[in-house]
Amino acid sequence: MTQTTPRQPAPALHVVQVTVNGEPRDAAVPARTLLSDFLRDTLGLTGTHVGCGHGTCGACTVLLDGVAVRSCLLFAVQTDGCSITTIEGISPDGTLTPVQQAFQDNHGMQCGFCTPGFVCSLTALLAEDPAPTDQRLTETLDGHLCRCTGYQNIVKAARQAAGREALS
Amino acid sequence: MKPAPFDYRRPTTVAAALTDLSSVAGARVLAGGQSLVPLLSLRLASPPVLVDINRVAGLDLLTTTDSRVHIGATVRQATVLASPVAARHLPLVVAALTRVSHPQVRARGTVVGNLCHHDPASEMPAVAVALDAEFTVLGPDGTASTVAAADFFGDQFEVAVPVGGLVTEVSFPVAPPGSGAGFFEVARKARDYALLSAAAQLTVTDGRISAAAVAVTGLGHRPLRMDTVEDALRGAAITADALRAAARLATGDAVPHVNRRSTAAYRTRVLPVAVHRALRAAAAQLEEDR
Repeated sequence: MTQTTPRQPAPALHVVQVTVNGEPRDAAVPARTLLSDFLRDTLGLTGTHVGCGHGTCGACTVLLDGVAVRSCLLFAVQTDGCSITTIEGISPDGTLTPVQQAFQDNHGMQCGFCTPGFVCSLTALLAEDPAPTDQRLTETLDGHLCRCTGYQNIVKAARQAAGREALS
Repeated sequence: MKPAPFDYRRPTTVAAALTDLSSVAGARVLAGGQSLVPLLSLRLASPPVLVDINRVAGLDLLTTTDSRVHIGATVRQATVLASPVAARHLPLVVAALTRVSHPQVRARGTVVGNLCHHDPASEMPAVAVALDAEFTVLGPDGTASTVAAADFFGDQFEVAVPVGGLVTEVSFPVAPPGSGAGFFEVARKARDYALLSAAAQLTVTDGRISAAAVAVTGLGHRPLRMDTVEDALRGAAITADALRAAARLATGDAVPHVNRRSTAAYRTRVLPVAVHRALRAAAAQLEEDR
């Protein structure tokens, strides 16, 4: 049986002007548009992955004014005037960053779905604290779920990116 | 789109925020949004209006006055954790906040919003009740009142804020010199929802406990102060035996359906254990600082 919903008036649109990966972007969207959907559907930046959609998995992590946040827990309209970096812009010159290189060197992924979130979070952490303690690294990685790797290679990658020997 | 449609307001003054909050029945405050946005996406809540207070001037301040630390409504949990003021004056707040979710969530989540959400599994209400935190609550007409933590928390997800009102800050007393704080939570795994949380702050003067503040969350629908434990500790020498004996006095009525992860019997059983570990952590911090 088909369910029908009553037709609702077109929602008010809000103009969102943001700097995404260094470029000014703007679009008019309904207030209920999540930042993750704005990046993927409105701007076509599908590198930001949506796993759980309610703040548990961390796959959608992006940098908001340099700080790692969950893009599924923000409305796009809230970020009006802000600067956003997604995985597409994490390397300004297109070569692998030390964090990306560390993931490749240590095979810190399998299916890769969660990887953009991990890379964004670690990039923000290392920008703030280039030599974080193992506890800080773990706390940061703890904000992300990976269903493939068992995390060992991700921890190795994180330690390499932080300038330390990987734990064997 | 996951959330139901809503009208979005973004006031820049407290007065405008109150006007927006009173404009439609069911209007909700959007601060950090780290609990609210999932509720909207799961359609467990569908308020007609969201009032985004993140750009309201003056709510993002962390200040110290009159031997209290005042935390404004849009101050992020991460900001408090990184603040030297909190590290020096609010050891129990810092101990509890490190258990609140992940750094990526604490980057947006606010201390005040977390307290106003009043999830019964939440950590910070125990701290607020233990330390006699005070909330500045504005009525819809802008009248300010100070509400003690003991009167602020109602049943789960309920707090003493009138319809159309706004909490502008929470304040905690500065920990006296010679204080140590400990926080312990029982959870199935790290960062999971706590089944039971215990917060403790001990102040030692001349080798004896001069002040003790102990409270728990998770036992019932609201945070519970452990008066009998505090009474037993006050005046005692800070020894392992004294902490253990006091923790054994921890009692309270466990409510069965606070969460679906544990029984009331289990939470009653681990209550003294959690209190004891929080007290031991507080004592260990005192030892470290000596």
